[in-house]
Amino acid sequence: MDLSRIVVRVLFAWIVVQALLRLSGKRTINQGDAISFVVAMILGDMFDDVFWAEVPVAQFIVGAGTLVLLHLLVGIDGYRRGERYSRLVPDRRDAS
Amino acid sequence: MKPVISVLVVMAAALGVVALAIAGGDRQTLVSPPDAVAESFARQMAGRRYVLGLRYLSPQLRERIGEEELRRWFDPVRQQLGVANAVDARLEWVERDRASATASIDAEHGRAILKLDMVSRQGLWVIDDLPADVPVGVRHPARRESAQ
Repeated sequence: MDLSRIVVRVLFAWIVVQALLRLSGKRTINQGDAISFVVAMILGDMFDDVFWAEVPVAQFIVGAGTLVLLHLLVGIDGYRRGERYSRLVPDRRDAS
Repeated sequence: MKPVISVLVVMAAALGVVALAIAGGDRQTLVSPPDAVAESFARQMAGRRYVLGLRYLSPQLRERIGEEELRRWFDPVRQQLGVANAVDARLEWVERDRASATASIDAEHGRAILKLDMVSRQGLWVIDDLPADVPVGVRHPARRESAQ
């Protein structure tokens, strides 16, 4: 496999994930709760498939974007619903 | 709600870049190149995941070939090979929307070579035709024993 193409794919995927995480308020990497850890793991696994071109980059964008979006929406929803919801979807905010 | 919109904008922008690259003629960088498609297909075949193998076929080929046909096509090869150890693929040639790649399955009892003709459909490489004959190099039993 052409090495320069791997560099382009890695760079592109890295920029997309950087943008997704920064614009989503870094919740995935900052919060440190169990769900955030799982999201980070899944994102890491998705990277690997893009590096070796096992999936087209468009599929990676949709997959990673949807995951970050879902995580973000659950966070926003949980924050609005308060304590009862937080018991269902544990969050680090409850620990204090 | 601002972060949600931002994420959607990033997704749309990134998809736009990919679409532009494909429209500009990219067939190997932001999409899976033919050798990667051939390798993934061979991996599914070696693992007897025929349903998953179908997604690498062109729509025209999928009209003629289903899971059962794929099983009938590859099962004799797989039985000769035994358990697969490694799958590899290399690109033979690319010419605009057509390409050819060769996948090799190295297995317990020998090696199979899949020569796959590909076609680009909506920017994605798919297998256009399956070879009628899959050459299998079966290892000599004595060599097999010494290898173990």
